[in-house]
Amino acid sequence: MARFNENQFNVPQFNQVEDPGAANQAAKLSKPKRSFLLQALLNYFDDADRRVREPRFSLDAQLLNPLANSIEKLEMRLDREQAVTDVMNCPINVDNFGTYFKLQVPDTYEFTAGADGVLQPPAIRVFTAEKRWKSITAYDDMLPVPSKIEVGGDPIACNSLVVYSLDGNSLKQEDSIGKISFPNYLHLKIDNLGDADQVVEVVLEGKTFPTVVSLSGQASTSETITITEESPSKTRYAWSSIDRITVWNLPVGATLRVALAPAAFGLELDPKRPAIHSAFRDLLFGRYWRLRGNLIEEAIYFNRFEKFETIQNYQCSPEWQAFALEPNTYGIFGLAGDTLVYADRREVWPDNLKTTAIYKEPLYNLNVYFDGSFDDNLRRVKIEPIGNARSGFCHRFRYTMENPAGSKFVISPEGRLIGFSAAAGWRTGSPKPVTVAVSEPGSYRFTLDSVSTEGDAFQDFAVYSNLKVEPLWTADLYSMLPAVKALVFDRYQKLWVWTGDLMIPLKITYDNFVFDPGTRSVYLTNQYTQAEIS
Amino acid sequence: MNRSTIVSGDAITQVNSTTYTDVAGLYAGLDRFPGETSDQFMRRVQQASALNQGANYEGLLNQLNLLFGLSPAEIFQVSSPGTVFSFSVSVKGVVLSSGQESLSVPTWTVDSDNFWKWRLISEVVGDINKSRTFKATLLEDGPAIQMVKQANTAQVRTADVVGTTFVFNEEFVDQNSILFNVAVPNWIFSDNRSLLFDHPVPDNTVMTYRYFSCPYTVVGYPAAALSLTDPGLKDIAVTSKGQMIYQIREYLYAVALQDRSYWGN
Repeated sequence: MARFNENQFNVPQFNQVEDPGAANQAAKLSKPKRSFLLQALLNYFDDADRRVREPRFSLDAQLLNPLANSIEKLEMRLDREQAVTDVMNCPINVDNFGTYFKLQVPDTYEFTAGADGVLQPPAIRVFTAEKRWKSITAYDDMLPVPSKIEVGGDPIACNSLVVYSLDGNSLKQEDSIGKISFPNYLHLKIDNLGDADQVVEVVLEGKTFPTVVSLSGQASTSETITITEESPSKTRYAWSSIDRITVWNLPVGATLRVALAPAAFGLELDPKRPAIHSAFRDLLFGRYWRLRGNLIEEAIYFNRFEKFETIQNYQCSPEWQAFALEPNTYGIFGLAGDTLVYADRREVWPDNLKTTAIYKEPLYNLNVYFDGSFDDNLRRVKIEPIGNARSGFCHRFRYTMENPAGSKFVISPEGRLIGFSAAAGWRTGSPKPVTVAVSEPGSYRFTLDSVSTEGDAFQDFAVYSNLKVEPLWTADLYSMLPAVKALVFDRYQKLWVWTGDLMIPLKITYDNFVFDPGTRSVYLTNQYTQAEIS
Repeated sequence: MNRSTIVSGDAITQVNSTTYTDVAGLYAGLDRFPGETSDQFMRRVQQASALNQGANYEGLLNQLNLLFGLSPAEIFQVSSPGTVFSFSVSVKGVVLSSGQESLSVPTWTVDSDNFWKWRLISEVVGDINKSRTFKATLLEDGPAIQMVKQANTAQVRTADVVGTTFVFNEEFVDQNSILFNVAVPNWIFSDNRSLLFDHPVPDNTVMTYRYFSCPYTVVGYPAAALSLTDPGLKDIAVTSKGQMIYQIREYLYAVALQDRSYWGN
């Protein structure tokens, strides 16, 4: 087995920074987020009420989002509590892996209390291994921001993320995979399933992980995976060896791949945050993350005919080559060259939502959404007018746009931007959908002005949030590791990097604390030589 | 107004939180050790779900192992090229037997103070390799007391037999161990893997048999005392001169001091 030279790679860490932009990590964390459940609440409105269900930041959406966030938080807590009954899904990577370092606040310390009478935590500074004092913040197990990363053990030889592939012949096929170098949950994906209305069944037989040594040995385990779509599937068990794989009904022309991580497919399911579409009330779809150029996208998977529709996308600057969703949290790890990035994967609620109500119904409402029909790195949005009852009385109209910097433009029918003036851009007739480029990250504000045949003026507004990944923490891997090709979470929810021939475990450290007002104790997430309470 | 107070690292102690894996551990009957992280503990919990924890010798060993957080290991592999052999380990020692050779290898000696001295596993492996037919490969060294009671034979109970042919899943079946629950027609043992009957067997016929695992991998438990749960302990607890082994004597004194009922009050 390849040996890992720890002296070469596991050097002291001075190459990691919190929030490279500025000391505004707290500001980024405190920005309101759009709950994935918001669309479920918006979908309670009638199908015909497109003004509520489709625009992402309608007044209704603004009112319902705090409720959706509360439900989401509660659902996440309940989901974690419920998951403890299943050893395969129990949350492991949260709560600082279950261990803390207790610091008793001295009796002489005078606590302040909040409005509810609960004691507020003291300010904590710690003396780190890098021999510097550092102020630390409360630990958030929904989004634990790392402070340090280092090589966490011996690497494992692994020259491919795909452990097995099979071309279909519509018959029963039987094979063996053997020992799996990096025991993990397996991810299965069929490509080119075509129009065949077949149910593909895959039966795995072998040894699960962790392997056990005992006098009577380890019993063989079997698992059946039924696949009807081209979206990836995940096994229930982590596997250490597959003695037999039996595949039924894989159609001619289709290919089955079995991989150690979703990174092999460039597509990862966000299992705890399903996607909800405005057109389908009470239906949950898979929310998948994927890289496309310099964007990381959230996409909804309908079926193998409709395939994916982009829900939201985020500019990665610099461009990412790999990513992995952190289990049980809102975090995402990305890889930009040799830089490891940690960010919140929730959508930030946009700025520039200045108009809270419309006092008279406009001739047309305005809907603005991402136009995913272009393959280049320039993002575009489609501006769509939605006719109301009096839309037939529209005499003239114009679209205008305010970019994140606050500059205003008029949009031509071809999607070009023209300098704004009171008279510019007016057209007679009914507004048509138009596509316009949005090059800068931030909140764009679009306006549809219309004038009726009676001369009455109307307006509707829409805000489009042109998002980018906001790194909360980055680490330079260049001095630690060989070139990294993929990020992988293992069966114990620990992060590994794959270099193309090695799988290397990483140890994440957090510099945070948990305050227990009842015992007046502070629980640190790391061990320090000194801590300062003030 | 609070003045800043600096607390040194000595006053900062490691503690466990009550986390999700602790609740999962309740289902497995396991507690997390101080400082044991969630992933380390979950590995133990998952192992518990895959191990025999029944009320037999192996189940007891597995339960103790899980409670102590210890991991049994494969310590050496023994083979006899070309022949089927029987292999057994107990606190009395290692016994190997084939049609060509029998070998007994001690795992301990008694010194002049009636003190057990356990040999190293590598020494036991060396003795096996001095034989003409048996070969052993050391996987992990340590005191031979780690070798718990085990054998390379296993029994299959109540295997259903139907029709005129029965094919064994196992390679080395002991023909002499085959027993049926009812009278069956005449049969022969064919190709070392199957039974051929001259007439169909009666309905609901079941069979019990024994087979050998060859080559065999010996399992060791790191907590040395575990192998002393071997029922054969009584046979080695006394020296050839009738004196009690020193360690057993100490152990009994300790029990007697702890257990007041020993003294009848």
